[in-house]
Amino acid sequence: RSSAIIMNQRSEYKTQATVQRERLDRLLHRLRGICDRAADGGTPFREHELILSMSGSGVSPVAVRIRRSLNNEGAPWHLRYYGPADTGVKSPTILVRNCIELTTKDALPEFLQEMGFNLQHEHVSEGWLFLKGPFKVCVFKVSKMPMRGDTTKTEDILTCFVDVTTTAVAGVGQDAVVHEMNSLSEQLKPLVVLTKPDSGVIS
Amino acid sequence: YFEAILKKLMGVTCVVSWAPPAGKTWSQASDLLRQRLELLGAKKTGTWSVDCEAYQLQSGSKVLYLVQSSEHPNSCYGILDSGTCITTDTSFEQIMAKLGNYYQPRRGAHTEAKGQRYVLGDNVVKIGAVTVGQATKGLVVEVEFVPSVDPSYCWKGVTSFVRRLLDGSVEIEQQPPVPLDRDGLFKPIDTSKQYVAVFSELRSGKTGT
Repeated sequence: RSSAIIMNQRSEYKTQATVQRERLDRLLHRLRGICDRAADGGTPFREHELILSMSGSGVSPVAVRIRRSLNNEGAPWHLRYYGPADTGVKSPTILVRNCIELTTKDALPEFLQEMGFNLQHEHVSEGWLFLKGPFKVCVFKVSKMPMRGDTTKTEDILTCFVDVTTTAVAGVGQDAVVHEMNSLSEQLKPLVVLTKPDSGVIS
Repeated sequence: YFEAILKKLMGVTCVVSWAPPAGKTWSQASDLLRQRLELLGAKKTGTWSVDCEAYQLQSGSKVLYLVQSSEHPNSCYGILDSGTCITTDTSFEQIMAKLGNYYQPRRGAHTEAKGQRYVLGDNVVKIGAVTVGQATKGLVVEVEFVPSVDPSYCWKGVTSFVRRLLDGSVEIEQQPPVPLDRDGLFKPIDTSKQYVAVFSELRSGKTGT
């Protein structure tokens, strides 16, 4: 089983930018032109996201990010754990991190909190998802939740974001992934200039 | 074809530990059960295994059990000692490895059950030896009534079959092990919770009689 665990190691490649409101429509128009099956305007999404961490004295905290669709009743929870940035990949605009994903339909926030995780932050993300080959392009806004756990009452943060992400088997074909991601980023200039996210913040 | 269908479906299960009759070893007791099943007309359909790792919270007494079963190789069941549980995929083991500073595998608690799998009518019967490290701790028997996921309908029948198979020498809960706050239907995690209980019983030296 340990060899299967090693083979299942994956890395996430990510680049992101903020989007000025006056450029949002043009960005969406361009994404409809270059992404796969985007004639319908991208897939709308609305998700509840939580960041939880476990911490103790003298040991590094461990954080996980969990999210669930608010558009589909009974949608599963997705958990993602990110490792530190992979310094072996030399790119000024792309963050590469080892990641572990899992999915469950059970009450994941409650289970994690009973394990000892504490809620650090939660918010609602809402926007559009586009796909281009192996890449996911999300254009979204983030809303604060003044009442813990209440996704019906939110306050918009005025900034829009665009994320371009993909995951691949760790350590395999990194240069090709970086090259293709840079090529996609070029197609979105000058509307947005994608840069490396801060790996110290789960963004 | 019928066996392939039975393999895909999941029914109501009853999992018990079984002490061998007086004068018999674990191996002889296991052979005795297999012969009994074959005389009843059961067909052997392969092998099975259930694996359980117990993780102890370093800063407290909380224990998390991670159970994986050959019947559902892409699933992993996380069960806290309070009974709270989730069904997820095998990546959960990698998450637990990342939590190594907080949760550590309990020494001497990695438990495995494995053995032979039989089909007898609407039932799947599994007999296996339970080992902790190199030591055999006992026998476990699982009977699954495949056509139903509603234990309120079939729990009495399943437990009656188990008692007859094991000469009445087992203690079984009168009520099926499904939480009242759920929909009452049996799920694979309910089988895993029974294995956790049986493994704890066997590690502590009880033999299920």
